[in-house]
Amino acid sequence: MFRTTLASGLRVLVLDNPAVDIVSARFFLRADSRADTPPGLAHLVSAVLTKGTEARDSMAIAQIVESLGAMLGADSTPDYLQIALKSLGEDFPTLLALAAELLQRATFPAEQIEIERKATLQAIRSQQERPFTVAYNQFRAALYGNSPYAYPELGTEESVLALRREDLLNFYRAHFRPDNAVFVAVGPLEPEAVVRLLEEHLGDWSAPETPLLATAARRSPGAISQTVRTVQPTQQSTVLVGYPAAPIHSEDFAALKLIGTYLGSGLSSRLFTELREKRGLAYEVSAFYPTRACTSHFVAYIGTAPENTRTCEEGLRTEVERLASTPLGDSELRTAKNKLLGQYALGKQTNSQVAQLLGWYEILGVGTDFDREYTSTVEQLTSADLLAVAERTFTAPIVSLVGPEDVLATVS
Amino acid sequence: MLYLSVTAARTRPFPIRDKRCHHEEMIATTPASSEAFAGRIRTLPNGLTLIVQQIPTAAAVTCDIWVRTGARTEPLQLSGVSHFLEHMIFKGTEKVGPGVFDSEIESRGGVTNAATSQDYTHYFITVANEHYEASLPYLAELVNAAAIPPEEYERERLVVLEEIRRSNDSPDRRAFEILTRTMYPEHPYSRPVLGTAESLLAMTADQMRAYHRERYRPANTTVVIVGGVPEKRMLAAAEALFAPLGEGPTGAVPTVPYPAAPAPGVSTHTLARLEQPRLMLAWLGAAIEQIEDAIALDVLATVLSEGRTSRLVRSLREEKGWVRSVNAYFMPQKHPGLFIVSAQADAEWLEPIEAEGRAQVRALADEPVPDGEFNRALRILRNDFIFSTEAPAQLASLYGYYSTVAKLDLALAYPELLQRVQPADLQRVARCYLDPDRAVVLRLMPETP
Repeated sequence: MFRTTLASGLRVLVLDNPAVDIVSARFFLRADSRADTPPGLAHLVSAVLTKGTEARDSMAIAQIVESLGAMLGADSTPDYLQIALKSLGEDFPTLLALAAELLQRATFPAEQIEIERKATLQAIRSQQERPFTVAYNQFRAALYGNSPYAYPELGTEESVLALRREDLLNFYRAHFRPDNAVFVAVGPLEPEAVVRLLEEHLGDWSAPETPLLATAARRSPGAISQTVRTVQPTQQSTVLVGYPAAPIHSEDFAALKLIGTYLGSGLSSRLFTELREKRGLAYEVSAFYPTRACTSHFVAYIGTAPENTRTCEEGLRTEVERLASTPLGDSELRTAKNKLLGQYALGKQTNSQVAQLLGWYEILGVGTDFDREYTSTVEQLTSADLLAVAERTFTAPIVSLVGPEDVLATVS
Repeated sequence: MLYLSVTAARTRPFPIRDKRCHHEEMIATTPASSEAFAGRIRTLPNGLTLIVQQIPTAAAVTCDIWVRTGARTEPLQLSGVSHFLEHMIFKGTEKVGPGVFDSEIESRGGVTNAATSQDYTHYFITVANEHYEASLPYLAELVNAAAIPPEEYERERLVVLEEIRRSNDSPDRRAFEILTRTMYPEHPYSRPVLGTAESLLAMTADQMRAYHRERYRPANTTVVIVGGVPEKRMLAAAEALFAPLGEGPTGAVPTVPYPAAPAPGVSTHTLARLEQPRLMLAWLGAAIEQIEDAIALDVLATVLSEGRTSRLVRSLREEKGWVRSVNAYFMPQKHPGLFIVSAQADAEWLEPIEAEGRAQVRALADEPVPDGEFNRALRILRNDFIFSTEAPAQLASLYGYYSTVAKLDLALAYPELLQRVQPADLQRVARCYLDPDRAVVLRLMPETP
């Protein structure tokens, strides 16, 4: 892989893959959601970003992309924003030029802000239609209190209504600067040619004199065991059991990923076999551990008939917390590793998947080598390592429930 | 890209695919230029179709077994059996006990899943190339020799009942069920692929075994292998496993006539836990056998709602601000599929949105789509085809789908057929299928508190 840093501070990663005529490229911008960033601001910025520049209005921008049959979109997550491009090889320069315009000269037109604000408010309401989303949102609120990870990406009704155009522009100025950005491209590409294109279109993009906002030292959420509930007249109860868990930089990261694989990944996972295959309690039962720059969370969840709510809550907790006292056997450990490493490799089959992974590692600060370091760390993990990490992590569960009223009352 | 349809899967599929539209397909009468095919197609003496393609740069290989059976051809009293059987296949055989398959595949770092629709059922694994020979026999054994053990049958039924409850908790899935009931009043497409709690409770393991024997015959099966393994090895392993299969009993698959046109009109339904109303305008479209029409409908849907400059998105979302979202798509099937315009919006706008939907569809019949819009739509669909055939699993799925529901040739000919579409074809197809006065319109409303 080719890598360089332009004079402006923009980090550039290019991977030549001549196998397909598809270029996937991304600009990542670190958005270290500070405690004072209103919920939903990054989302609204990304929704309006592609809807106006000094030279073009919303329709003119869309016209360029759509007439090429290409894709260009902006998106936000708790740790970064990104502009993602996908096109045939020959159309890549045009698309890159347009992305460069968005990075430097987006205008956030007032009427476009109102269109996207309205759509966002409707999307916030629609989250109630999905019981899992309701359960996950109330879990995050309980775990993270007032810190940025507490909120859904969309924000809250109240916070989105309060956002002003000035807020969007300030956020844009503070984050869209080359020393805060990573560019990654994967496809049939000659790296030198890509660098020339970047210099041509982003030659004037320079970091302002004001220093980059320092990473807000984020307090780790205090682990307070609790149960949160939302009553909905659903046919299934959703039960989610979660714990605060290490960020990507932590030495516990690989172990927690491996535990997540053991418990929740695929059809031979522990939760799937114990709660679904042996007991028929659910269709969907799984666990996940998101990759995050700051304190993440480890979650196990299940959707089950209301009368099994309590059984499932106990089942999930037992299975997770058991790992703090019972070490995995050799063959369980070997199987979990094979599964994690094999499926991790399968997650890098398309240019978009590779671009996403490399850019993500770079913007989170662990660097693209993390791709290799991570897999070799996983290889070396022992049962004792997992036991120790489980003991540290699975101490104070937050239980989140969504379901019919009389049923939720049965879980203390 | 014009393929795949609404399915029920063994588990929730992992990542969301970055696909543009929903489900669609195509099929045709025109034999296509399959000399361009980079792989090989074999029909074994027992009737099984084998499709293999080596992609030298791929590190993984996908094996995908497609069976030509699904909810459409189920006897009424066995509604849901195809999907329930898909679950039971994973409960093993006499030689491979429950759970063994999952752990054999996953402990090699592979992934596996399965899906059932109205027209097909398929089972697939993706593994690193070096695990190909060790993995394929497990998949073949499961699909061919399912034991359907009684105890497992009882327990897995609970899982499928949970799947039904979960589906009922999704207002959008319930909306889709209301739509199919309305569009196909006398046709099996009106029945949910999952079946109902009632049909599942009435069904027996013996009935399921008989269904398996009759439907899972080599002549109904396509095995697709795509990935980094040399073609010779692909063929050798697959032929060794599938050639010995007997032809199997000839079951009487019910002949299902094409659906009659539904009665046009507007109906209003209330959905529990809906936060914002939905509006749907629907028409019966082409059957998969009519590939040119299916492709033209796909182009029309692209003109209407793909991207911000498309007609409906531009007008209803960007200019008028009436909708949170609007989407037009053609969902082809073996029998005539659905052309749907759906919107999510507040109640006050449903009437004007409906009027605009009808007017836009009328315009497609009355006036040729101008060059700029026309070329944009063709280019989007051409690239979408390229983008959705990048990984072996995507290609395998494309081949398997067409081979099962139509003909493989049509998948291979798609790019060429797409380039042949003319603006006049779009007008003809709009007139033929999308009469604005014959639309079936559903208004789905939240319960009033």
